[in-house]
Amino acid sequence: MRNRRLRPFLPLLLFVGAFVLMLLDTTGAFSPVESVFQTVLRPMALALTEARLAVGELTQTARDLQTLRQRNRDLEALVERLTVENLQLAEMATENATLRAFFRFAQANPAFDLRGGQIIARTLGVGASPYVQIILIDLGSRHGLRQGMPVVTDRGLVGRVTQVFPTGAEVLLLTDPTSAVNVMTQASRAPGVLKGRVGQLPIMDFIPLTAEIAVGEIVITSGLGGTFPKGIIAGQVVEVLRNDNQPFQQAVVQPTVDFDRLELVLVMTNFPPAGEIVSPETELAPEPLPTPSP
Amino acid sequence: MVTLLVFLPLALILVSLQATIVGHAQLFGGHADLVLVGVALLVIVAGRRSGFLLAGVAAPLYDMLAGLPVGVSLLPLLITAYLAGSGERALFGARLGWPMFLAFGATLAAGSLTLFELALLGWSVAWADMLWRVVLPSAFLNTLLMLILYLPADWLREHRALSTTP
Repeated sequence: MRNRRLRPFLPLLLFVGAFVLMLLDTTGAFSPVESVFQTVLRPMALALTEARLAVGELTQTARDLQTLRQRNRDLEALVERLTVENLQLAEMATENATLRAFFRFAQANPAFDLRGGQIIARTLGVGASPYVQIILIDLGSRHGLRQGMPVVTDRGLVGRVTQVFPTGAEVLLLTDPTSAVNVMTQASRAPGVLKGRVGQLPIMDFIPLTAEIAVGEIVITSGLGGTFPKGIIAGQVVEVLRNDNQPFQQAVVQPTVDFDRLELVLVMTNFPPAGEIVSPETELAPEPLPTPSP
Repeated sequence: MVTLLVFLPLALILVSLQATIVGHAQLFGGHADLVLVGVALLVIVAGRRSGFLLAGVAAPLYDMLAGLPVGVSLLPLLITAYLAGSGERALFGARLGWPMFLAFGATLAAGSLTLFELALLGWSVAWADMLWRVVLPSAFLNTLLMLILYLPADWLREHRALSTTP
């Protein structure tokens, strides 16, 4: 009888209940529950990811067999191109040696700007929902991660840490529509803001009309705003959208990172994002210069 | 309590599979949604009450793993269970057509509601892009996922019906 009287109000109760949950979430009331959930889920998610990768390798092998002939032809063409590139790489090797020398110098002088290290984290899964582009990694506050830390791979920028749990963290990808990264083109030094788009390649916006940018230019982080360090490769310009009636020009950018095949990422634990106060007592504080031995 | 013990592992499995495997099935910006399809299937196989319970348990877990505010997925999943239950008696004779239609329609309804909730919470929602490039492709993927999962689920339903027939 009582249940019947309540029945007409059930949708309203559910609606109110859902919003109470959402409001509680904004106060952080669910953080402990989320931490426990992340901890409980971690082994299962790891096992499932391993299984998916194993199955993926099997299907990949089958596909490789089917396309072997075509690939052989492609590879022959590739060899010719690589011969030319090899000569260019020899030049770059010389440059690399110089950079390595700089790196050793930085290591020998820890008081300088390059501090700490990077952590390799494993991606546990893509975000479960299509409405937000995130990945989950198996490192958290116990490993020194904090909100806002940049995440990269050897190919370039991935995004930044948006939520940290004791043994896991969420990383907002630069392809998410809410992501905005201050960038510039490497050759022409044109500044802009790289914004994620839904189901499309990210777009570099707010590029001054006076800037001469070309398809194929590399886009790197500019370091403006202090959210990301300067010089991380974010992508490559694939299309320039210029309209003289608009105050700015835009460029469609192909990220250098393949977000569908992300397995390992690097978290820059030594980069405190802008607005974050790093106390001198933290482990990130630079060590004093070594006293020269007599 | 017993109900929770039954549905919690099921919800955990669905959510984990979604985050690690099924979420990789993408079309434009859309993902296949195992949790939504799972709730709809459970209503078809075991009735509306089971679907509501699974939705209630899975929604918060889903939100936590997806990086969404906790509670956002609750209403969309409950509506999915409601829609699945509404057509269960009237249209179930259509066999494969109904679950596929349901997956498509429920995804559109649930997606639109999720976006509405996110907008209410102050998120910046690009409606046209989201509906066109996320919700609609997700609806097609979920229809395909339903097609794949429905046949074993239907076998399970019939097998169960036979086993309970005296």
